[in-house]
Amino acid sequence: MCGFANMLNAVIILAAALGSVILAFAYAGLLDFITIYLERKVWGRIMQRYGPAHVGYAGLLQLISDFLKYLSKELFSPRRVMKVFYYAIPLVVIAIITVPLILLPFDYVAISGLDGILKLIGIKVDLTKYSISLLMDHYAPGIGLLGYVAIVALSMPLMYVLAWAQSNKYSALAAFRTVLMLVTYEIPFLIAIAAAAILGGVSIYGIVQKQASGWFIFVNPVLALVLFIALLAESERPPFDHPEAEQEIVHGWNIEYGAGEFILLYGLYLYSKAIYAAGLVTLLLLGGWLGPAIPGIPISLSNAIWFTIKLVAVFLVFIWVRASVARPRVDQILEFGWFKLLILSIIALVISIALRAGGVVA
Amino acid sequence: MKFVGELERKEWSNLTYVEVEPNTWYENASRLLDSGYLYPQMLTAIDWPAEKKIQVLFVTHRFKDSHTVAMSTKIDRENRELPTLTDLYPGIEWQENEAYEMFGIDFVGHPDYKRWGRIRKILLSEDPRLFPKDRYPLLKDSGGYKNLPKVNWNEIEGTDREKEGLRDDLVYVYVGPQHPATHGPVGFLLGLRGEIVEDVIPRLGYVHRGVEWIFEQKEYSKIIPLLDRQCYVDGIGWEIPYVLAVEEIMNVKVDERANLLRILAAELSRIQSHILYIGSFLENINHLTGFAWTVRDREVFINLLEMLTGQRMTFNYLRIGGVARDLPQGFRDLTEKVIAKFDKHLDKLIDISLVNPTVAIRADGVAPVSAEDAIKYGWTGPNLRASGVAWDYRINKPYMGYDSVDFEGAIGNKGDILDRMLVRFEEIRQSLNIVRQVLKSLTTRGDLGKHYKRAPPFPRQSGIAYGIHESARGENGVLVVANPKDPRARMKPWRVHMRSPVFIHTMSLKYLGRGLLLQDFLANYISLDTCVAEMDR
Repeated sequence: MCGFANMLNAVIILAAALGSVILAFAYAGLLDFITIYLERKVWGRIMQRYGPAHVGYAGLLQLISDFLKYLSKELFSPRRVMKVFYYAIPLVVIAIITVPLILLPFDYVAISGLDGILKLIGIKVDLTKYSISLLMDHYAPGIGLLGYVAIVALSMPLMYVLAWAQSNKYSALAAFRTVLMLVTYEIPFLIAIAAAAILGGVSIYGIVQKQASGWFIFVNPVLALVLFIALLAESERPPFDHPEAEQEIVHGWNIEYGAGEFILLYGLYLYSKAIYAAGLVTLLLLGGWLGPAIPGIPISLSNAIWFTIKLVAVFLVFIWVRASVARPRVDQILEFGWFKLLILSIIALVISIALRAGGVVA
Repeated sequence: MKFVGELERKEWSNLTYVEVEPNTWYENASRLLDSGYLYPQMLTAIDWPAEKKIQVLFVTHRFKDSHTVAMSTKIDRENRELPTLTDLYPGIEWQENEAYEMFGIDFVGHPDYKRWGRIRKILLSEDPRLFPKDRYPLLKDSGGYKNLPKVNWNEIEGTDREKEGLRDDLVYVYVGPQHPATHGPVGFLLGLRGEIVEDVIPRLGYVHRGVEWIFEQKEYSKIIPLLDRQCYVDGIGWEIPYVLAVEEIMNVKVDERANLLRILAAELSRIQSHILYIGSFLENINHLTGFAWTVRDREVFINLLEMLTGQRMTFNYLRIGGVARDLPQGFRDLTEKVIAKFDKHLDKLIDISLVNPTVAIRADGVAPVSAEDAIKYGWTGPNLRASGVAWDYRINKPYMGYDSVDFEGAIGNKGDILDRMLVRFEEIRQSLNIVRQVLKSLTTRGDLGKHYKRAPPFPRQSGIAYGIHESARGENGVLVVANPKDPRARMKPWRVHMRSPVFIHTMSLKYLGRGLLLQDFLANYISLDTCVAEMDR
């Protein structure tokens, strides 16, 4: 059973899988770069101003310069906080929020991009089978989707602790609001995930393959609406940015943190969440990496390109929403979550069941 | 109306001045209330050290026949005591606080006694390390704001004296003075239960500069540039009432053309102030796109004002007896172009703000204030009209040639935030209308530039006058007292008092801000149109 060839194979897979994780990180960094730049530029355009324009060509390097500047700032903590919680929880939050990079097939997309580029320059290898999320999906189907749901469910209580540990009244209010957001959207979100799973199975790769015949956004538009709103709320983007609420509780949950933690919490944590949200919309509703073949380009590279384009397009919708809405009151959010979104999500679930049971979706 | 113990009665151009005996102060006030003078406009004091008296002045409106009464009394300078009028006119409470801290007048029965055991200082510090305890700066022999104690800020901490009056069952949160929603260094100490505001303690005075004292050190015409700085958004709104009051004391007539130019400047200033108001409200509810759009739209009106007055924000445009300069060449054509373009922008602005459901749910039905409450607490201007009170000083008591232009007032009915915004939108429209009319009737050739030089630089005889102007934020009132007999005030005013509508609106949140969510409280505060420099003076 445990021959030398198998051992060698396992080591190769291990190395390739680690490589795929690193590639996924690089890909996420690229997405962060694109989306934050676009958010600044497009939102600026909507507001009739320029956005970043001076660092690099058309302000392209502004993000990097901001990042370096923030990291160069002094670390400090308020007098009466528990230092352990104050410094450890941001790191825990960041560590946890990177896990979905391999739960959702970001590493698959990244590695197929590399695979396609290698094929373009004439090296014929099949790298995509070493993607760690594909391997996981092969041995335990559904671990990606369920794992992602578990991770985001965990991130909110962590944010509660983070806000509470700063011993500031504003961040305490933010902590309460975090719980409010959790009870507002988490149940509709879970029901929407269930509705998508009924249509296409629990495996993300299965769901994407199912959408070759038709994207789920057209199959079940109610599901698309619920999932989009729930993901918007989960990534705390306006109009669901109540825990942050600059005009009321002054960036509530990260009020006491300096620039270094700010760039970690705000730049990495929140934008990662937003990218995962956009990615999940792409995977569950917009056919993932599926798209018409681009002539002259290997299929694996075109997969990566289509996925990136779709994800950025979804993110542009996020920016559009952010630019055109105001922040509702907390009670209005709660009312919306329980009396509109929850009912809609149940309707979406029923439609999904009907479509599957009726045989419209095979 | 008959007064008890009446000593003197004079008719000023805009009000009836009555002086009464101090012991009939409260009775006369209640008579005023009974005969329909519901509206507490202003209360302040004037020091007369030569007579050993302090004069207290109380101004009130009657809406029915647009009549205004200034009731005045002279109390003993050594024994400064008067009964409070707060149970009749609740809106006079904070103005009594101000009269106390500036003149040391003890208002017996003031509501602050119940909670704090003393009348609180609002604008000055209650900490004796920062401001001497027994110094009342506007008394002529007090030394004013000179020779204040040197403060070592590294050693001092905790200068607020509010701690002893707080409730035990609430969590108190300092909102401001450094807070994104307060739009300037003003603060509130909010008692929260959950997110519901149950107790409001306004904390003002962070940018108190003592301008009323500074005014007393300056010649009449040198005060005008300082008045602009009291409200950096609507500066013309403060120049006008001062100039009106000084002109009344000096009996100066103003040309029709100069009046039209004043109206032009006032309405342009009102338009840009209202546009910024809409923007700052949208910013407060996190609608930053709307904020950016309003800043863009306001810019063109600031450019027009710059062309007209020479300055973008601190105009220094009015002169005693006229205005500083005539209509510049090409102003009319440019204004027509700007208005035509802005009309389109205004529709878009309404689309993004009022038609937008996420904005509408934050404004519609939030923090309604009834007409009775608005009158009772001394609200003025667009906020009063949003509550359904048809009172616009430009229409009800035309001054400065406002009767020659044809326009309508805006009025709401519920008094909620949405109505306040709608009133402002409508007033922008009406002001554009006024600007068009004024530009039509301003002939291209005028002999402006000389007549204000005919006005004397300072009054030769003593007198008191109270100028009122309906500005963007409410009724700006400036009381000017001339006393050239005293050598100290030969060329300078004896006393100038600014009745700031923003101060009154903000302080009234003490009672009207209770029971709202934190989010709504801040939106409500912004929807009253704030300007901290004017609040603190």
